[in-house]
Amino acid sequence: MDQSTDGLNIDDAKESIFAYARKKGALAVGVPDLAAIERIAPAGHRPSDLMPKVKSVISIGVGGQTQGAWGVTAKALTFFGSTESLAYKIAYGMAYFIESRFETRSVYCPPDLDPELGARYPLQSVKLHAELAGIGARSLAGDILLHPDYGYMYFGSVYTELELEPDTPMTDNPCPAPSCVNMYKSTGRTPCMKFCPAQCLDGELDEDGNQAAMNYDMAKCAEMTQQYEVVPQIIAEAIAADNPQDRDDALFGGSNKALWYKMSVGSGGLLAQCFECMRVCPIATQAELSDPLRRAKARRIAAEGDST
Amino acid sequence: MSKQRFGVTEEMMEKYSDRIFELSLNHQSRRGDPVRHLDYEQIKAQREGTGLTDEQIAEQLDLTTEQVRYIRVVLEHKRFDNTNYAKLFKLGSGKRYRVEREGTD
Repeated sequence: MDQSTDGLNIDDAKESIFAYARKKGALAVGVPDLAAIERIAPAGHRPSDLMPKVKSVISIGVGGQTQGAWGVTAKALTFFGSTESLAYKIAYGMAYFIESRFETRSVYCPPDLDPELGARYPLQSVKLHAELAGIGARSLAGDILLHPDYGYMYFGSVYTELELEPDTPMTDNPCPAPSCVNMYKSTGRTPCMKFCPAQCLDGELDEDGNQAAMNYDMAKCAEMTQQYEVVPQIIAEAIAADNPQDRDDALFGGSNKALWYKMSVGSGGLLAQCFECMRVCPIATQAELSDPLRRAKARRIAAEGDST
Repeated sequence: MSKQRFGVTEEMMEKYSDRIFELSLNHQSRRGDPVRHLDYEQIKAQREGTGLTDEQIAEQLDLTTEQVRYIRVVLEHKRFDNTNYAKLFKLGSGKRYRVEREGTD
């Protein structure tokens, strides 16, 4: 498309927006088809429910943790495993960038929970945006999106009244990896299913080794990944305690006391705290550009190729 | 939220709890890869498995949205086993979870 509106070349605008995202640290950027999102997302969770005059959604993917992070204790990863804040930071900045550069209304799409709906329903699905934008495909690990080159990413979205040409979803799904297919053929399970500490993942592969079915017990997963849900439970136990000792145990006993610390340092210590399915995923951990070390190596090899 | 205000009774909780939990995002199942393929027919057919909103569940069970939401949110904390989290303390650095070792510590 080479659409010009008021002197604005929309293809140049898209390129400029993508360049902004990459400069700020995004590994992947895409524009999902707004009409498809509106058709797939349920009422109340569509982009137009949040921004009535939205014309485009821009989806941003940032890389996961360093290669070294996959080798540390799960206890340590609970504090720093998630890298979503970079995606949100880029999306937030991008909304400002579009307004100032193209004089068109834009907004950071909150990736947060819908405050009306408790702890498990998001306002909008940034996952759906990323999948339709072609920067991730659903995996057997609870539909976590994976990318064939970048592995496991975190996503953010921007809504804008700028009308951009949409991209398309990925042609192929990198999940399951060949080694996972082999394991499934011999044991009936893939690594993510086998090593999930909540045993919340299940699925089937077809004869060709493609995903036939994915089953995800999100409630069990939440017990490992959404520790903030325990906070009111602890307070309720403390209120209901019959004596001061039981009250102290509820508030200060064992790992419960650590929650007060996590609450004070913010979401990095409270959200998405379990990475065991991704730790054993060959796409998340071994995709060609899945961590800074691999990306540096790829850049070095490319530079060496250029100089010869 | 108030149980009485929304007309939620114990009988209602007992009758609908499992179904509401199953239909909500708490349990998700998908066949094939319909969103990536933009297969709208399959997306629609699988909507129940991939998880419904409170409004959609209410419509299906002939309850009000508020009743469904009340029951779902109560179940989400009642069924939350806060002892599972401690499993993470023993994993990583080469140690993987093994279901067969459950209860042996």
